[in-house]
Amino acid sequence: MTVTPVPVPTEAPIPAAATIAPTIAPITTGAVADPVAAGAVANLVGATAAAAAAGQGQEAQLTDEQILTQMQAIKDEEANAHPLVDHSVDLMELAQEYENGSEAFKKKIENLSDTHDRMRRSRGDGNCFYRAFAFAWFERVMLAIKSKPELHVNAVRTIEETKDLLLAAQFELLAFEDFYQVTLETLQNLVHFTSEELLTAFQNDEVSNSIVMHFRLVASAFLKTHQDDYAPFLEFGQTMDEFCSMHVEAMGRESEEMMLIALTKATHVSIEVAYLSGNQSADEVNFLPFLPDTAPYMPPLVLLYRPGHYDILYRKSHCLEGVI
Amino acid sequence: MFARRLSKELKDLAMNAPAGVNIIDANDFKVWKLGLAGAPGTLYDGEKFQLEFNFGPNYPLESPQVLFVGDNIPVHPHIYSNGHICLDVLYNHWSPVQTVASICLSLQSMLSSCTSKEPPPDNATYVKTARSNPKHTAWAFHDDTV
Repeated sequence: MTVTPVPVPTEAPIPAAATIAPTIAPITTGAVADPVAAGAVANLVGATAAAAAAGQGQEAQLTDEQILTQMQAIKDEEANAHPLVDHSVDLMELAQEYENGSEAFKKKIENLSDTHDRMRRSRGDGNCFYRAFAFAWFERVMLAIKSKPELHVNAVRTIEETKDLLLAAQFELLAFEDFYQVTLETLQNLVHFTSEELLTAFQNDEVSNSIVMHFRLVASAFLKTHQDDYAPFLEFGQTMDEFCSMHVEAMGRESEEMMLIALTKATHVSIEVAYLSGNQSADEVNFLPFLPDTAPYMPPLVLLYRPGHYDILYRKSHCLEGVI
Repeated sequence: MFARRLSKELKDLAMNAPAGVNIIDANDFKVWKLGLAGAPGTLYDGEKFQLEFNFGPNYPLESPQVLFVGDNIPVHPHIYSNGHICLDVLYNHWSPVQTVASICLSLQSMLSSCTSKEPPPDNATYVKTARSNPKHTAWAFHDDTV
């Protein structure tokens, strides 16, 4: 666990606020223009480092407090431009993004629109898969609260069971119960939530990130308690514990297939992922199903994948309120 | 959220602190000072150290800033004389399932497994250039043997 340190002292004096701001601004703006911006938070670290490098030799040093304030300001700006979860939009908005793009994308989106009519963006902060999954699931349950109340009962029971899964994976109750509580309470509140209230909950940092964290821990706990099945897929001689702490449990780490499989199986909720790529050889979007071991009790959640990013897709037949 | 979590951790630490760990000062939810005693039978047997934890509002989603403070900074290949600690779980291996207690245990075991009390080879250069917050250092973690 201990390691020989090779700290790279990035500690050139960081220039004063006035010097840093213009350096950071274009990067943030760039992220706004790019709908699949992978984490402006990651960008800002780079930006600070770049600014530090650019400002070598200047005497003025920012205090840690000032750096924190600046980082918060950048995060706030990002939050305003890209909510954690956005309002749903017509799929045609996606098509507009590729107006000047490749024919392959255009053709695929056109085909996608035969069966899907809306999408909802999840912020590209590395947590998009977990957030999209949680939102899509909770929204589905909420919309069916009158017509199919058993979906809610199932969901509550599933989340309650995750507590045992986390304990079985040796997580300390103290360390996870706050995230668990927020997730369970949000789910219980679906009984009286409106769509707008659900969105507000998922746009709130504390609620939204707690839910993301809980789902991360659930995926991690599932992998840790099923090591025999999944450890063989790990690379570079990593142990499952190392993999989970670095790639699953830490906020902002992007997810790959293994996490999708784990979360599907742990929650008994199936997913279909629409892979939208610039691959020229096919006009159709490829759908990849992720299925739980038990028989699915509702149609799959549909996510849209573009390299490095997940959003939510709405299938025409699933969109109508109450029709699940 | 972070205050609720920290108050739980504080209660837990007060009731069952790991051996060799004691609370010196935890009067707010911003900065805590903890005492760490070198474990019996190790190179640090009988020594007492002080740890400072700084929590941001995003704790535990983000790691706390942790460093050794006071007159006695452990002489150890992964601990710089300014108190900065090279330990992966404090930086890029941080996960919110870590707690103050689990960090203390990691540090305790890092000290206990030490076989020769030497400062890091690049101590002098690093200490001269480092910022006060070790989280602003770009750490690279290489080997597992020391």
